[in-house]
Amino acid sequence: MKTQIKNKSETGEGPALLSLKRKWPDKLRVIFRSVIKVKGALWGGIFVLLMILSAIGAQWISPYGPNAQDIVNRFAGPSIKHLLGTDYLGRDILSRIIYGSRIAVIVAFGAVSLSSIVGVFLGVMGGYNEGKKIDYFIIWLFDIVRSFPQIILALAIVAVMGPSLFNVVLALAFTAFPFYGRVARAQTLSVKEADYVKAAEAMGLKPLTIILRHITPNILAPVIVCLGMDMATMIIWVSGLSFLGLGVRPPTASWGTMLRNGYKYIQTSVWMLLWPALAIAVAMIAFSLFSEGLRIALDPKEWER
Amino acid sequence: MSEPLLEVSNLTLNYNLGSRKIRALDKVSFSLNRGEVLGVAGESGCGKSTLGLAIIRLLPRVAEIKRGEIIFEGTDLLKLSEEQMDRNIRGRKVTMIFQNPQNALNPVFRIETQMMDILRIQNKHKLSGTRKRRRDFKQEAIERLKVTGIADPEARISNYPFEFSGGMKQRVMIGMALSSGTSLLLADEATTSLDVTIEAQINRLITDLASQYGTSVLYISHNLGVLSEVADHIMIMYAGRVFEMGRTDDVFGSPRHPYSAALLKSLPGRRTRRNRLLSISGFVPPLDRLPPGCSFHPRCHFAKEMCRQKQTPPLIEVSKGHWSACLLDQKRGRQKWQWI
Amino acid sequence: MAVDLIQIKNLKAYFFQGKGILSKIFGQGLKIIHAVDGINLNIKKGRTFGLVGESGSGKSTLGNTIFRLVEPLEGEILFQGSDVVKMNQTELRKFRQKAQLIFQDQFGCLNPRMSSGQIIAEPLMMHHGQQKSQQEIAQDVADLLRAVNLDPEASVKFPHELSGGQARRIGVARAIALNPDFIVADEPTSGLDISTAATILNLMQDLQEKMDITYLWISHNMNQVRYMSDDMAVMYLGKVVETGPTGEVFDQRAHPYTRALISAVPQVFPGKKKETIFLEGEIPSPINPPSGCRFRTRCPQVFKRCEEEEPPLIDLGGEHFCACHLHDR
Repeated sequence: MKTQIKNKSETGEGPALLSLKRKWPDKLRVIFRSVIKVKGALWGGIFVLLMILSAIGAQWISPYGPNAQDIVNRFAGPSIKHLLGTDYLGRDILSRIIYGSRIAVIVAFGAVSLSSIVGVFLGVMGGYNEGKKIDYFIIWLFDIVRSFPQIILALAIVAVMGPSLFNVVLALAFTAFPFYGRVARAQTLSVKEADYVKAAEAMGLKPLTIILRHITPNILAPVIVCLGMDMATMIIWVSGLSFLGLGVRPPTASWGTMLRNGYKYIQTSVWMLLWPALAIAVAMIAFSLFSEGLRIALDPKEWER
Repeated sequence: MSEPLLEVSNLTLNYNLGSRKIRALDKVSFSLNRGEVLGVAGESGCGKSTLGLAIIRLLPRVAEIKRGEIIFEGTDLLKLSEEQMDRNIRGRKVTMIFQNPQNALNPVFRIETQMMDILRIQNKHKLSGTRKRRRDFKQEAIERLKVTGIADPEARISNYPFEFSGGMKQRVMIGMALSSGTSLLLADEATTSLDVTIEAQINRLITDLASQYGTSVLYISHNLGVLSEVADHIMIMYAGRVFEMGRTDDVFGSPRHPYSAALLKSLPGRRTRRNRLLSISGFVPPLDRLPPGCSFHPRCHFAKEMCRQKQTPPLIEVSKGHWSACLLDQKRGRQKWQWI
Repeated sequence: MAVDLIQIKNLKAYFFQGKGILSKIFGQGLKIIHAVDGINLNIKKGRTFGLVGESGSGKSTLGNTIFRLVEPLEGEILFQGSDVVKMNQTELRKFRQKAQLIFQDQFGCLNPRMSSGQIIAEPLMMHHGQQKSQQEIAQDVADLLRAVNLDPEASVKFPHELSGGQARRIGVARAIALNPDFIVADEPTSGLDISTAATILNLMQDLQEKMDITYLWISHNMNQVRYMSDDMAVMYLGKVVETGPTGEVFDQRAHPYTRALISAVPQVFPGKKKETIFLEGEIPSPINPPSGCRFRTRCPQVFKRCEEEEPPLIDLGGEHFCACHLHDR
């Protein structure tokens, strides 16, 4: 009685037709076209790319080493020899900013990805199991961490674990994950009521598949927006920690330590303060814009056909 | 009784979306008499909602009216300034009710507050008499709720919107819409989100208003059944044009346009089971890429060569008070639209 | 000939409101929403069973309860002899292969981040993922798309690129992917234009004939239920007030609610003015349903007994039942 709907397809069907989704090169082109329509996102992307490139290729592009001293030209203003001037030890500021981007990139990407992955995972878990014990436990964890002022918590962690780059990343990630967790959990609560999640349940999919395939991709948009803002915050914090002497140890070049050193001479040599501050500001804006581009790239609805 | 209240002639309207120009309304002409209900039917994207918004001039900024007039009580609404529209027309002589009553009421204010706000605005520009007081406004609000059939209005008026059901909210919206001078009510899918028994109540309320107070109603709906019960006249739209217009019994009883006939045939009405419904092939064409000739011809079962080539067919009075825009019908005399 | 595919016996599903600590402190107490309150239905194999009722009648909850998306409080759902309510996770997964759900919101039931092809392939992957290659599954998806009259190239499109009718077809294709015996269609044409709705109705009928599917057709549209279904039930506030063969129910209209509901359905009858029975008032809240007969607060023929005792389903002969004291003599 039961006829299967099969073998109806005519022969000669080229296998090229039988794809479930768009081919990658085609898809990439579509995504790229959509992202560059938002001008800011394009610029943000370019600056982020520049930062990453300068972090990777610091030794080749910077005119001097980060700690090479030109004692004669201490406190120099911008000149042909030192494009952005030199600091109190006669070190080239441009080179130090380029080397400093390493720290910024490592911390921003490291701390943000760590905290967002952990936060989103816990948030989705909690949201999906709303009202169960595990949810209460996760909320409780978020609340405990969030009840400490973030910078003080980070300070305490670094102070206990010792000042090193790795510990700074860890400490910053630890203070930030409840933030992502909260966002992810709230989104999950609304997405899990969507009909397509119910449809997946009615289909008999396992909870993990539902979480990974149906819930997580659909809660990411606000998380990504937070991500961009947070990367900028992280750079400031690592600067702040370095400023307090708990971040990266001198003489390692980082924008924060440069700020700290610069502010002592603010009245005599403003360049020492101005350039690292500008670098931080540009990085902040770039990351925010970049995250907007990322959000568009991940959302099929924003793609141009 | 047949003095026209609203006369729309040759209304043509574009939406300018960047490089694309979408013709949402194309030479729409009709007239509406006092105390009558005109039903506007059509599928989504046919321009029926745009028509309602154009009359009350609440179009989005991208809309541009190219041609045409909207004569309401002797004045062309398109020539009035925004201020004049606000002062005399919108919310006073012409009011509109929308599909979702739940979105139209602010959830944090009492019904009382919201109704009295409207009343105060409606009274502000009136020249007659002294300024009304709060108590009077409240009394009037209660009166209006009573007219719209809400039981125990004195108590219910101090409730919040969430305490009202969908049908009751739509009654409140109608109550707010009806100021004493309202002569035209635009109802855009006003009962679509309601249950059938509630829908019947609201439709009775609207038709009662038309017959008792002489309010004219432009009733926009995709539900042909509702229209056939409510409306005196029917206008069928497709891709921004009027395809057929006439008295309800004429249009639904003996449709002259194949599109109207096809719509009626695709309803699962009295037809028996296992008797396939007629389905119109294809889709409503995108409005910026309309086919030449009759815009319905790619989907029309009866399309002939002339439908493809000729200019867009005009709306012609095929019998008394019955207009149709089908070339076949006009050129070859009355057609019987029979699908095999 | 007509074997029962699904038997629902005394099914109850309640929602609880105000379980939290705050409402306990402020003494609001537990609110029980009687969404589905003792339903008995028999759905015959290969037929369409229409379920009508207004919003709040519990018809959608009933559909969800059959899939245990809502856990029933008590009662039995016998599917081919085994009780869905008692199934464990493995059995439930098998059951959900044979029974499928089509949701009301044609876009809402499709994951916006998956292409149509991926959406349709998902149940196939889950159940045949081990045996079949990617290529075979892609072939199956193309066949399914053809079966619902869509171009196989539609598989690369995302839901927001589809029209309402196309999105609905994708939903149907996903539902028939695993050759189900039973499909619950919850308002499958809501939000669609007239002509699109007609094509969906035709499509679903064709599929029923081809694949021998049983439908539970949930709708508020009386015309549609009359057209589609062989048997039907009318629900009001979580209870079945009338059930029987569709023709019988429409001809006899034994329950006053059925009568009012059918008369209120707008019909295109040129020239004829039909008599509409207007029901006064609104549907009462399912939190505190009226005592006795639930319809008594709006019933035009109410009398004293309606308040005191709840009418049972009375056999009117020919598998036609009605829960009204008027028929009890």
